[in-house]
Amino acid sequence: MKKLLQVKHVEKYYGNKNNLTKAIDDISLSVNSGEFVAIMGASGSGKTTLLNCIATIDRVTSGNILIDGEDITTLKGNNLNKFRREKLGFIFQDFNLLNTLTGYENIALALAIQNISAKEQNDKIKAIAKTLGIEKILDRYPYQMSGGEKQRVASARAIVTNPKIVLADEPTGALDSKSSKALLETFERLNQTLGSTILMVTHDAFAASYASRVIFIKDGKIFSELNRGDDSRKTFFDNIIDVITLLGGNLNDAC
Amino acid sequence: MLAKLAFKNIKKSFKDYAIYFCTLILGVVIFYIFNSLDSQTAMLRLSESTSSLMRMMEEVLSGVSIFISCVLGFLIIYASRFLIKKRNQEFGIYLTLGMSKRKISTLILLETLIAGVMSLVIGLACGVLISQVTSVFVAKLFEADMEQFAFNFSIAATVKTLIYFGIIYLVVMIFDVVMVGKCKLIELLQAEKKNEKIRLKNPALCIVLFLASVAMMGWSYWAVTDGFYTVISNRPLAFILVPIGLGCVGTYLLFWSISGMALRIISSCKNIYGRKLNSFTFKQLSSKINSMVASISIICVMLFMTICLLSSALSIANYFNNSIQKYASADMEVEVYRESETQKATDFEKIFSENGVLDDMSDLVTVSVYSDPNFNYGDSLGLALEEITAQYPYITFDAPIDIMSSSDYNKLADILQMESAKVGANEYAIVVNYETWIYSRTLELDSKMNIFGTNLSPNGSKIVDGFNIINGGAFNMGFFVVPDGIIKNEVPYKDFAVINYFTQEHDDQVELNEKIAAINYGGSGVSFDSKIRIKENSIGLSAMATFVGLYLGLIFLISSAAILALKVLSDTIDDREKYNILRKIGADEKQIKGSLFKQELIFFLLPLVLALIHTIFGIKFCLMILETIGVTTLLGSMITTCIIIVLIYGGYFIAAYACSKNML
Ligand SMILES: Nc1ncnc2c1ncn2[C@@H]1O[C@H](COP(=O)(O)OP(=O)(O)O)[C@@H](O)[C@H]1O
Ligand SMILES: [Mg+2]
Repeated sequence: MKKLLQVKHVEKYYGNKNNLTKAIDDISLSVNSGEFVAIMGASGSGKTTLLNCIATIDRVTSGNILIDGEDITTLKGNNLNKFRREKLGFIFQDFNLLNTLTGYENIALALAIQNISAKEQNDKIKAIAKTLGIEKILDRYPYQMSGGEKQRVASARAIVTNPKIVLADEPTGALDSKSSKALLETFERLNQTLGSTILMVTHDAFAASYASRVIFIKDGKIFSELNRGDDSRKTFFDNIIDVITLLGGNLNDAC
Repeated sequence: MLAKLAFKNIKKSFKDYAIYFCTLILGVVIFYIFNSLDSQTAMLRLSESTSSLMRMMEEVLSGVSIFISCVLGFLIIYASRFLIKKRNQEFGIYLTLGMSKRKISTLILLETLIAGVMSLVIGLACGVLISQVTSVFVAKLFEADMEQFAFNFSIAATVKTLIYFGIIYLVVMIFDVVMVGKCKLIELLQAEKKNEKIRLKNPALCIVLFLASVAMMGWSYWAVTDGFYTVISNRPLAFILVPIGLGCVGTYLLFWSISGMALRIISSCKNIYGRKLNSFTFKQLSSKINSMVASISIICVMLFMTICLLSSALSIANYFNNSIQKYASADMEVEVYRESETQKATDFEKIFSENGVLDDMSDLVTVSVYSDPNFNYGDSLGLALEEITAQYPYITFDAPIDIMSSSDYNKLADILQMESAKVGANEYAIVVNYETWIYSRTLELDSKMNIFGTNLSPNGSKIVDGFNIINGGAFNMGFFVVPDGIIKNEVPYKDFAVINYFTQEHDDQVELNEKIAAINYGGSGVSFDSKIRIKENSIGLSAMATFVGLYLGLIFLISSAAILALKVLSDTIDDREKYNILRKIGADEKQIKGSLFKQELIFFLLPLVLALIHTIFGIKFCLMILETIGVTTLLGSMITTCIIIVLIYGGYFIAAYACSKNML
């Protein structure tokens, strides 16, 4: 299977010589096209930093990141923006929807930035809204939506541009368990029916159990990796809990 | 402790509110400069009458200052309310940390005090420095000689500035404290989220109000221009406030309805709305406008008044400077009215010679003026009288009109540098230069006139541009020039002498004028006018117009620009997060800055564009009034005004854009 994302010996330091934080300490991993990968770790373990580096929002201190064969650590300026809007989709914990725009307009904006015509925008949004079951809330403003609805609109915005890879940072972090479950099922469906590649950061074992592979990191290093294989979600969940126990303590509490 | 926090807060927010602070300083500077005219003119040599005009002007400016300080007071209260609102969350945090409301009030008091004192000190310092430069312009305006350059500093103006601004800041403090006192913690903490809702206006109501506002403004435009005499006839003059008031209401309704409709219209143009960041840009813009419809309307009206005020004021000053050259083209004029029909003509040459002033005269021309009791203004207007009475219902036309012989008039034309009048044996010429009367006269240009019993035909279809009394402007409402033969046997009712002196020295001329005025000429009445008196009079008027116009205009301009700039800046602070989201979904920096630029440009242009539309009609109205003092065009001064507006308003826009760009 094709390697869509390759992270090679990435390091990320914060601060100066006297007060150095190694947020990421020599991480290498790869994600294949069509995979649904979760990254787990306690708060402060460097999950967001890693995701931001992959997302080109942050820069690595050393190492390389290849997406679709292109080394993104060497991209600059408008090439970087171009790459970001054409190849990547983002979903954030706090939704990051624009409050002054309706759900439809929020999704459309991601397409408009790519110079896609209004007609085509409409077709694409209608299609994705159907898949995610948000047709009824498209005309609402974010303040008129529940958290789960907001996150589904944000997911639609991330997916609608047909990105190579969708990056999600704690997407269920601000949701109640019912909405979390619905969102994760949506991710599963996107992954299975549309073949979207998803890289999700989470500290929640339940969320991670929806992925096909889980990578655990601790103190900026990869600690372990779990493949779901043909296991049921329940079995996979139990396996994840085992690793967490091994990691030392409950991740939820660490937050 | 609190003082330290206050200082820190000011320092922290200084960059964000530099524009507010600069506006305060600018306000102080302008206030000081216009109140320190006395010391600016201290080293000028001013004549008696100019000094008394100066004193009058100071009184007028002092009255205007009270109004100005009200405007500035409102501006500062508005701005500080704005700034406090932006900090609601910060106050909420102070409250949750256990700081008492009293302490927060004290904190705000201290902050206002520090900002106030700093702006006063810096503003006064700048004011004193700048007034050294402006005093040169003042000298030029008064055409006074600057004996020597001296540093000027007005204690009175300084004290006045301190008192007025002290009061303003005091009122601001009270307002702020009351505002904080009324706040509830929960509201403070939620302040940010509350105003994010999009309020949609009823489209039908918008359309109705839009049409109503267009109708209101349309009627007001008509009422102050073509319809003015229709509207004002049989009504008190104060009725003019009705179209002005309606215009203001119309402005508000227009902005209210447009801000409700524009978004709907634009968002239905899917191709434009769905391009790049347009949807975001328009939504931002519409929420900006929706949240301050009233302010934008007031700003629009203020801009409109600024343009009219500045254009009118500058044109008055400009007009007098030019027209004195043209219409006060002799140094002195003496008119002697005859007591009876039998009195002989005054022999000016002999009288002047006897009084020892003849040798000082380089030119002396004496002429006579006649009138025919059977030929008055009304008769001279012929059939045009009806139209003209309809237009000027307050004027009566039964006074006899002046008549001069062609040889006398051409003698005058020679010395006063006017075109001569050629009249054939049975012809007459009309001499007129008053703008509004030129038109009226043109209506009857081909009629025969019966003057002293003789039927005369016009000498062509052209009016002669001229006058017989030196003046500050074109105020000759018309007199007739007829062949010498026709008035051979008539007796003139007055004689007059037009004089030029050898000397061009101001003081010498004043002395000569006084000597000539003291002579006993006989006759039933004597009147004098001199170039020097005319100059002083019109300088007073033009200086007054310039000062009041500039004073009000500048304050209006900076107030409106400052409010818009502050709104733009505080919105940008609120919207930082939104721009970050745009970045995350892949928008280029160029697109983001472009969106910001478009929002701010349209926001600044909106009130200006409507103000300019108002101005088209407002200027017509100003011109209608100014024509009565002889001003015929505002074009030159409008160009100057536009330059001033582009500099100040444009400057605020650029500063606001630059600051907000840096905040992103
Ligand atoms: N901008 C920053 N400056 C300095 N240190 C940072 C910054 N961002 C994150 N860190 C540090 O890097 C480490 C990893 O943070 P993060 O990636 O946010 O963890 P996680 O998302 O797993 O909770 C933490 O120790 C954090 O304090
Ligand atoms: Mg994180």
